[in-house]
Amino acid sequence: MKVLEVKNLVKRYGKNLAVSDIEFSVNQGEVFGLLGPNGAGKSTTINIITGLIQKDEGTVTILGKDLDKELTACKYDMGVVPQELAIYEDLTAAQNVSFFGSLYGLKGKELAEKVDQTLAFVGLSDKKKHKVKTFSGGMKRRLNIACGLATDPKILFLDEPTVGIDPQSRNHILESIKQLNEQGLTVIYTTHYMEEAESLCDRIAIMDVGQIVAQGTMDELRNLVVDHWFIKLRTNQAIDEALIQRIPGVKSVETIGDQWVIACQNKGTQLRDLIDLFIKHDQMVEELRVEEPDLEDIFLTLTGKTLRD
Amino acid sequence: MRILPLLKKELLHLLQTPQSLFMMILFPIALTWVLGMGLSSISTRVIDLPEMAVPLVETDSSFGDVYRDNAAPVNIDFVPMTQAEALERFERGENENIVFLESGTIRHLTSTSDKSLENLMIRMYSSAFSHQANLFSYVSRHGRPDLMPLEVNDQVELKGIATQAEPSSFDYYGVTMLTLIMMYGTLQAAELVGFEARNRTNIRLKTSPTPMTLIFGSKVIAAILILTLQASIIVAANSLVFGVNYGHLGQLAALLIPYGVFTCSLGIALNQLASKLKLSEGIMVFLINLFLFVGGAYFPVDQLGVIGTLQQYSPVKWINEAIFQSVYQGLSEKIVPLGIRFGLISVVLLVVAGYLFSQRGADYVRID
Repeated sequence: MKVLEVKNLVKRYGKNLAVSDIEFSVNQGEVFGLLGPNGAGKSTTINIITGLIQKDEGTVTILGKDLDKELTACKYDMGVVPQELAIYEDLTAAQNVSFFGSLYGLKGKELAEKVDQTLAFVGLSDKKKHKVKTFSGGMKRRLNIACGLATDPKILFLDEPTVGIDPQSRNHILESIKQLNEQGLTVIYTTHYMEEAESLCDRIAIMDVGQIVAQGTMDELRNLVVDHWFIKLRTNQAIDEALIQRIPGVKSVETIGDQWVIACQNKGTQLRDLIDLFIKHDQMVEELRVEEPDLEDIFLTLTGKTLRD
Repeated sequence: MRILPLLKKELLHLLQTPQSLFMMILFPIALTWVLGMGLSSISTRVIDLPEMAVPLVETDSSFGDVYRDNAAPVNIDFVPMTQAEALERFERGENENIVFLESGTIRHLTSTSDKSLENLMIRMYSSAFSHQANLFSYVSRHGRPDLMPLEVNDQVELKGIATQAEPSSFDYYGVTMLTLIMMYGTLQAAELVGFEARNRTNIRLKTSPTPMTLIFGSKVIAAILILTLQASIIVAANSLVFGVNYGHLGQLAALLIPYGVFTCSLGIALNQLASKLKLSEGIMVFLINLFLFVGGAYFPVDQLGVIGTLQQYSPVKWINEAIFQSVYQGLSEKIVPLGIRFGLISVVLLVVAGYLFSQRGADYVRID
C-alpha cells in the first residue's frame, strides 16, 4: 500500500527551480531516503508535502487523500521533525511534547500517556521536568524527535535529524528510527550522509539541483554504476599488469604497495577471469576483497560531482 | 477548545521568564517614583506662608486687638510699637512694611513692590478686615442682622472658586508612565508573534492541523491578557505606594482596555509588516517613541509649535487626555468614542496582520 505519492512536483522561487518535476512514492512500513547535497531540493520537497509551503505544480497524495483538498486531514497523519531544532528552550521537555501533542487534538490522560511514552522512547524520561535550555545538543535533537512523535503519526518526516551532533546521540537517533520502523511506522528521511541512507533506508531517491536523478533499493542503485566495482588483491609474486588489463570489463589497474586495485564494470565475470589468470600463472592469492560502489560513487557517476561538493 | 493549550503555553513562557515581566512592571513604577519625587517641588501649588513680623502703630484705634488677633491664622504677627520706633526700623531696612491704625483708617506704608508677598498679604488682610468691619458697623447702625454672614457649621460647606482637584507630579507620571509602558506593550506583542519564527517553532505550528487563524488569535489574546495583567499591577502598585489618583477604576478600565488592544494590535501588525517589508525592529521602536514623544509622554509638548499640533494624532495623547479628564473633571464622555476609535483601528491592524501571518509560508522555512 502506498502511503505517499508525489507526481510531477514543481516548486519555483522566482526564476530558480527548486524542485523540478519529481515523482516518487513511499510504501507502508518503508524507510524512504531522500539523499542529496545541500541545495538539492530535499527540504523543499518535504516542506511542500508537510504543507509548510505551496507547490507550483503536481499532486501529493497521503494515504489516499489529496493534499490540496484535505490538507488538515493529511496533517493529522504526519509527524514532522524539522532540520533545525523547533522546541521551546524555556519550557520543560514534558511541556514541549505536551504542547505539540495538544495541537493535534490530544488531551487529558491520553496526552499525558503520550508524553511519557515518547520521552521514554527517546531516552529523556529522567529529564522530563528539566528545562530544555539545560540540555546538551544531542538531548535537544532527541526531544525534537519526541515532539514529532507526540502527534501519533502514520508517516514521520525527518529532515536531516543528525546534523551537528555527537556520534553517541547520532547512533541513538538512528537506532530509534529503526525501532520505529520495526513497529510499522513509515519514515521519510532526508540526509546528505550516505552512510545513514545506506544503513537505514529501504529505498532511496537521489536528488540533485531539484531533480531525482535515481531511485530504488541500494542494489538497484548499484546496478546503475558500471565502473565503480573494485577488486583488491595481494599475491605472493608479481604478475604482468598487461595480462590483467586484457581481461574484458577491466577499466584500470593500479598497484598500491603490494596490492592490486582493479576497477571493473561489475564483479561477476571479471572476478572469475582474474582468479583463472592467477591460477594459470601459479600465483597464490593471499588476500582478496571486492568493494561495491557506495552512494558516493553512485552519486558521482550520476551527477559528476561528490555529495559534499 | 484548542485555544486553551495555546494560551497556556504563552502564560508558561511568561512564568518561566518572570524577569521580563518584572522589568515591565518595575520600570514604570520606578520611573514614576523618580519623576514624581524630582518634580513634586516644582509642580506643587501649596505655598507655606512664612511668619511675618510687621510693626503696628496704633495712634487712635479701638479695633487694634481684633485686627491683631485675626491676623494670626495667616501668619502675620503685628507687633505694636511707637511711630518713631517703627519709622526708625523702617529707615534702617529692618522692616519693609508698617501698618498704622488710626481712627477708622488703616494706613499701610511699604518700601516693597506690589508683588512682594508680605506687602500682598498685608493689603489682602487689611482689605478683608475693613470690609468685615464696615459690614458689622452697617448692621449695628441699621438694625439689619439678616445681613450678617452665615455661621460656618456642619451643615454649611465652604468651597473655593477652584473646585477641581489638580494632579500632583505623582498623579501625572502615574498616568503617563502607565500609558507609556502600555505603548511599549507594542514591542511585547510583536515579540510574542515574532518569537515563533525566530525559534523555528512556527514550522511545527504550521505543519500541525491547528488552523493558523487560531494560533494567531491565541497570540493576540495572550498579548492583551499579559498587558492587562501588567497594567493592573502597575495601577495597584502606584495607587498603594505613591497614592496616585486613577479616579474611578471602572472608567479607567474602560479607557485602558481598548488602548491595550490597540497597542497589541499595532505591535503584531508592525511585526508582520516589518517581516514583509524587511524592516528592522529599530524602525518599530522609532515609531513607538514618536507616538510617545508627540503624545507628551515624557513632558508636555503643547507649546512646541508643530509638535504641539501633531499631538492630536498621537494615541498616547488621546488616552492621557481622556484619563485626566475622567479623573479630574469627572468626564466620562470620551470613553465610548475613544473605545470605538481604538477598536476600529485595532480591527484594521489585526486584519492586515492576520492576512500576512497566514500567508507567510515560504518565510517560515530555510530554502535550500
